[in-house]
Amino acid sequence: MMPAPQDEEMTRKLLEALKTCYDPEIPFNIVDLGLIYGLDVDKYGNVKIRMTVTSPGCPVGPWLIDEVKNACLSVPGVKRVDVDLVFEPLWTPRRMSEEAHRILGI
Amino acid sequence: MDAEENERGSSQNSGDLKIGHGRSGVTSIPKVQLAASVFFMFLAVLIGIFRLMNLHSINIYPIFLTALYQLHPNIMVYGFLAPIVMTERLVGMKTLHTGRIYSLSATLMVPATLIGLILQIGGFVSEQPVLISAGGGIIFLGLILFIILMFGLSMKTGLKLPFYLMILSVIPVADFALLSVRSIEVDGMPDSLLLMLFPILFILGERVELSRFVSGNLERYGKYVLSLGILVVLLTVMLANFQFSMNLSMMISLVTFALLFVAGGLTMFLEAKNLIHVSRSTSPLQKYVSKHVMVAYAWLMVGCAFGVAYSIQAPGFIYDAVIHSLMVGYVGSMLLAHGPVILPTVTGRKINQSTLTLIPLILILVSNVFRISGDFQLGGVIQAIVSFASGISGWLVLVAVLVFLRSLVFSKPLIQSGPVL
Repeated sequence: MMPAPQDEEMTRKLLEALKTCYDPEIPFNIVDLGLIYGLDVDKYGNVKIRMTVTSPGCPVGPWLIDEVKNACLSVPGVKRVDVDLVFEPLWTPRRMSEEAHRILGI
Repeated sequence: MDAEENERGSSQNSGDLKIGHGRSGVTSIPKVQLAASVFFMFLAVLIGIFRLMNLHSINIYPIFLTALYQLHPNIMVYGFLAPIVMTERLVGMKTLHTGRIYSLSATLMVPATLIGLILQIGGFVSEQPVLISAGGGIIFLGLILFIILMFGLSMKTGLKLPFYLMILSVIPVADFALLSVRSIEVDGMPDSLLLMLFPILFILGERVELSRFVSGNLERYGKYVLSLGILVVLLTVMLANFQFSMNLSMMISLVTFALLFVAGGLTMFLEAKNLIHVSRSTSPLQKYVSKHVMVAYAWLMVGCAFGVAYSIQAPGFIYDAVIHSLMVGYVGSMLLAHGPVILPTVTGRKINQSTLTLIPLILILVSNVFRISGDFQLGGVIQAIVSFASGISGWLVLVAVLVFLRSLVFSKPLIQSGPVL
């Protein structure tokens, strides 16, 4: 569940930026895939993200985290990004957005 | 510009990369393992190049490489493919805290496989059977440790089908390690299949793993892929371990390739819709990956079809076309596809997407077309030209590898750089 944002405008911008990040083999951005478990930003521009990847055995994690950090740092005002890669709870397809479900037919 | 951005990124972001349940799990893989795998890859490619040239009467014999001609497939599989595949799977182990037995397996499996191979090479060159036998035993141990690790990952993640396929893929190659106590040389299609099924089925397992959330058909068809894989492995192990009459061997080989063709086709079907979506993406990396994967599947189908033709002894379809359609065409294209994604994990550096190119894929394609053409008896001047082209086609694979590795030159450190295994 997304924590209450300290700065709604900044959170919105960060989510927009995160929507430019894709797993290399899935046609949906990581927000619509449901990979972002939590996003927190303070007034100093420090961003904390809890996220997962679709499979714990998948080697895409470090690559994707770098994408996430780059995307967040492109938002004006962001000074620092901490990414916490977690596997509890494990990601399942149920976390995908309705559009993703509809297009993939699952 | 990139350098400036790197500087800025590094100084601007002192963020922490945490792996696992909020724990910082950043450790590095031994660089010596990585270096050894790359060395063995180049060694295997060079051996293959000169061996192929000699087969086509281009007689250049580098003494050291000539001595290792017979070990080309062993070095490629045990020296390069197995360590790379094992290393890739280490990520899951690190992130899931799978326990001491699994950590021990993860630590020892790659060194065991590499040490076993080195012993076998030493035993082969010095004609010491005891070294070959010891090497075979140690490789077998390394592969068993890998199975233990994947079993742990399967238990921890709850993913069964993909890991079952991956575990299944190790059985034939472990069987070959045991058989190498008797003879290290790859002798004919059954032995080749034992080695080839490792990357082929492992990659199918990875594709099934991906398709579990992009295909509503996985539950319906995924089990068929696994069942077909089990049958293929059983038949291959039977072929390699028992003496059959020629006719029966060819019949079993025919069924094996036909089943593998269907298993590969089903896996492709499972992710077809996703692949089409991804290929239309605006992301250079997504386009790059999807094109490589589609070409790889095409080679899998072609290689299996050649295998069927080989089994019924159709004119022209000889051993080399089958092997290299599968190993260079299918496995090579899949490795190129996943390289840009996996390399950051093992090197701590990310390839700049704008430097990704289809040139290595095209070179592999051209090389394989030359090589397969060389298998046909065309006669006359055309035969001589095609045979020469086939003989030198191995160099194109080496160029493809070098062009791909060139992209590493333009890579940049991950933010908070460093290997994360």
